[in-house]
Amino acid sequence: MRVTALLVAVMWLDVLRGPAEGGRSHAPWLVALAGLAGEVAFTALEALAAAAFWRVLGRRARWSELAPRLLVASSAETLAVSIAAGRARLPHVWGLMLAGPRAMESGGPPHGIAAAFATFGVLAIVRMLISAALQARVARATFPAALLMVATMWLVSRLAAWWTFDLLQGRSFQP
Amino acid sequence: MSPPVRHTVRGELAAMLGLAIATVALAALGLAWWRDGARSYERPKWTPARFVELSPAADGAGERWLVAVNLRCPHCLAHLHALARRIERRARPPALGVIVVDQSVRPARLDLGVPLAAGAWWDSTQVWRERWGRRVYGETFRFDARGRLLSATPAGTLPDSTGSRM
Repeated sequence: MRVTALLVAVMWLDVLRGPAEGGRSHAPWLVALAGLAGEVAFTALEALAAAAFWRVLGRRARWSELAPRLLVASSAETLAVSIAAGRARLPHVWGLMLAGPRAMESGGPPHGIAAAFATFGVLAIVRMLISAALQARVARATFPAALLMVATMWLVSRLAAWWTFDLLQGRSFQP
Repeated sequence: MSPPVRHTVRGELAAMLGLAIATVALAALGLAWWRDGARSYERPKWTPARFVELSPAADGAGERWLVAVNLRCPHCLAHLHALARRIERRARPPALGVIVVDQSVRPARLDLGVPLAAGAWWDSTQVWRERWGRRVYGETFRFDARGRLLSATPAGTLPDSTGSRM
């Protein structure tokens, strides 16, 4: 599983390097590495939260087992990011369906709810399904229980993103 | 209690504490968001006396288009310049101006590189944010000659042609 996670990390690096090279950045590799570091940090936190959830539910799921699996589950997201960045040539409808509304937006999303759910598409669902399947195996839980946990965590993260966007909108680093 | 059992109990307590802290933080964020949304704000009305004049308005007869500009916001300035270019060819252009927002001290000098017939105004008392409840930089307020709001449109939109991107 760790080798697969390493391969997914390489996929992330490649996906993030594309937009960085297309932009005005002088060091696209550095931008891609920073993006990968962000993704790994996010996955580490997600694994920490998932481990805590499982423990509260009376199951043992070690962080060190969850983290590489969650990184593997994020492989679906690499494709979504690639579509949203315009690297995968797809009809708009397919892009919208697979990667979510972010694939269609030309400017920034107009409000918090749009920003929070801009990533919701088929590939986001696939990521949740893979994550639930892998976590169910680690925690020795049923797939529906794992899916419920993953979906709850996703929804909570979207709510936090929505509220934070709305509260911060208009600050200097926001559109 | 044997050491492994004690270790498990401690782990469960730590997990519960972590989730409880995260839940409280989320609830606090939700409460802040709800309170923010529940506040009622004034409908924007152009009252020059509420703002500090940085450069005088040359024309007060027609429409005024005032852009909410934060001086550290590049896209606000880009929008202002685009707007100036779009209206310069008109026979009777509206008077373009700026409201400098989220600026704690009065700007020493202001040269935004475009003619500002409706003047430049410093929002020293946070009217734009606190009274009008606005927060998106680059928004253009279109007022009639009496100061009544006709429209408020985001950056990148031509104010008298809603939906028309620049």
